[in-house]
Amino acid sequence: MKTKEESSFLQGVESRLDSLFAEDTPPVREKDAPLPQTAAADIREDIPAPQDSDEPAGSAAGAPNLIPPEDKSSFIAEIEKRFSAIFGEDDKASSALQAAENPDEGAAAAIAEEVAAAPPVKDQPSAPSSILHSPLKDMKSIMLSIEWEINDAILEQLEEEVNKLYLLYTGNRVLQGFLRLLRFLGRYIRVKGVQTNQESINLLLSVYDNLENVMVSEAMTEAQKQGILLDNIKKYRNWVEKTDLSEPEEAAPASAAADDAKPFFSELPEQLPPAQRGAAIQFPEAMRGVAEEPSAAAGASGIVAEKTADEALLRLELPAEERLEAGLQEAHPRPEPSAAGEAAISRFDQQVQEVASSLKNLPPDEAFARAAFELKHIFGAELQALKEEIRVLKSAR
Amino acid sequence: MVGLAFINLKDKVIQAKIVYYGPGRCGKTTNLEYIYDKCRLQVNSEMVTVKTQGDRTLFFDFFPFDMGKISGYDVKIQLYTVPGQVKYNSTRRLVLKGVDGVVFVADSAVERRNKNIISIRNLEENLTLYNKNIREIPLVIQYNKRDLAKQGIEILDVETLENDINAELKAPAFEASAVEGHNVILTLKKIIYYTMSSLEKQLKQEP
Repeated sequence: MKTKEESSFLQGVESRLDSLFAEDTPPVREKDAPLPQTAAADIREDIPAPQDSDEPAGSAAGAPNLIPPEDKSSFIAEIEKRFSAIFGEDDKASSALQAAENPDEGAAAAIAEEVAAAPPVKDQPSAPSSILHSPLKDMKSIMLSIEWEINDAILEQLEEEVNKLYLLYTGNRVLQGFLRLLRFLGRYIRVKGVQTNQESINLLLSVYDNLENVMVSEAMTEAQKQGILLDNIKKYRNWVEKTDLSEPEEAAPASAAADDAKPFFSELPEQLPPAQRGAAIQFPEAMRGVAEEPSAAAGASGIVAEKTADEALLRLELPAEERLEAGLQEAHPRPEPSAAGEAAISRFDQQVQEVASSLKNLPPDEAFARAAFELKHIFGAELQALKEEIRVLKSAR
Repeated sequence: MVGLAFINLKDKVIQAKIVYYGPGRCGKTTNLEYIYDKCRLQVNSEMVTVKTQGDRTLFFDFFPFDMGKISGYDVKIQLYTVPGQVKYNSTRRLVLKGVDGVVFVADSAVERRNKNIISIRNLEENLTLYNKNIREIPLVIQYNKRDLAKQGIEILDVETLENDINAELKAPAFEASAVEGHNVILTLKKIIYYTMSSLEKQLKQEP
C-alpha cells in the first residue's frame, strides 16, 4: 500500500470504529486527550508506532476520538454516515446486514481443533478439550472455582462430585485413591475454614491435577498411574506431618484426625522409586490383614506391593475422615431425624409388613384392592403424623 | 508478507487477531460480552464462548468482528480472550499464536495485585515464544473493575497499577468497568487502531 492509501486506510479504520460505537464515545476533550490531539497529524501523514504514545494512565477516561472532528475529511464523514447507519440505530439495522459480510466463523472451530490437537505441554500434560468431554468436567469447574474463592458451597459441591465420581469409578482403585485424597482434603479445608493453610489448598489442587493427568492420559500405564498415586500419597503424608491438625479452634474433630491420619502413610520412604515405594508402606493395625494378605504373585515384586498399597488405601475407612466428618457436622449441622420421626418410620415399616403378610392368602384382585386401601390409609396416617411433627418443630423454634 | 495479521493483498482482505489477556476473573470475557452485546444485532456473527460451571473461561472466547470495506480492504477483526488461570498456560500460548494486538486487562482489586503482575510477565514470556516483544506489539492496558470502589471494595489506585504493570511499557491505559461498559469500547477502538497502525507500518517496511 502506498502512503496515501495507508493514511486513508487508517482514517477509515478510525472512522469506522467511531461510527460503530458512536454512542460510547464521549465528546473529544483536549485536556483529556493528549495523545489523539498530537497524534492525529501523524496518523494521517505517517504511521505512528503503536507504543510511541506515552499517554498517561487514566487520561483516556475522557474517551477521546482518535481524530478530531475538524480533521476529518468528507470521505471520512461519508464513511461515518454509512457506519452510523449500520451500527447506530436499530431501525437502520438492515443496512448493517448488507454491509457486514459473513465473518470467518470457522476460525473458532479451527482453534478449538488446534487446542485439542496440541501436543501436551509439561505444565499441562492433558489437552483441555479432553477434560471437557470427560466425567471430570464438573470437577474441573469446581477446582477452578476453588482456585479463586473457597466457600462452603463450593466445598460441598466438591464433596458431592467426589462421591459421584467415586461411585462412577467403582473398581478403579487408582482413581478412587485420588478421589479419597481429594475428599479428605476438601473436608479438612471445610472444617478448618479460614484457618486452612495455603499448603493444604495447594495439595488439593495438586492432587486434582494428577488425577486429571491419570484420567486423560491414554498412553499412561497402570504402573505409572499407581506411581503417581503413591507420589500423591507421599505428599499427603508430608502434609499431614507438617499440618497442625491438632489445634483447630472451632473444629475439634480435626485434631483427633491427626493421630489417625498420620500412621497411614507415615513410613513411606522418601527416596524410593515409585515401583518400590508401595512395598515399604506400613499400615495401621486395622489394615494389616489387607496389606499383608498373601498374593498369588507375591514374589516380592514392587508392583504387587503397590497393588496392595492401593487396596489398603481404598479399603481403609480413614478414621481421620470420619472425625473430620464429625467436625463438619458440628460446623455445619445437618438436621437429625427426631426420635418421633424415627418411630414414625419404624411404625410405617411395620404396618407395611403386616399388610403384605395379610395379603398372602387372598386372590390377586382382592389382594390388590385391599392393598391399595390399606396403603392409602397408611400413607394418609403417616402424612398426618409428619405434618404434626413439622408443626411441633416449628412451634419449638 | 508480514508475519502478523492475515493479509491478502490480492483479494484485499485484512484479518487481525486481538487477544484480551489478564489474570483470571479480571473481566476479559465481560469485555467481549459487552462488545458483542453492542453490535450483535448489526453484525452477522456469533460470539463463541466456553464456560465452566463456575462461569469461568476454560478455553477462550472468540468474537469475529467484521468492519466491512475500508479503503478497498475488507477488514476483519477477531477478538479472543484467554483463560486467566495460571494452570492454563498452554492454552494461552495457543491463543496467542498469530496475535496482532493485545489488551491487557488488569484487575483493580487490591487482592489481585500480584496476579496482575504475574499475568503481565506471563504475557511477556508467552509472546517471546512467538518471537514477539511485549514492547513492540500493539498493547493497550485496561484497569478494569474501577466500579468496585462504589461497592466499598478497596481498589488499587491508578498510580500503583501503572507502576506495577505499565512503568516500563508505557502503553496506553484506561480505567474501565467492563460490567458497566465504561471505556470498554474505547479500549477496543484503541487497540484496533494501534493494531492497524502497526500493520501499516510493517507493510511499509516490506520490500
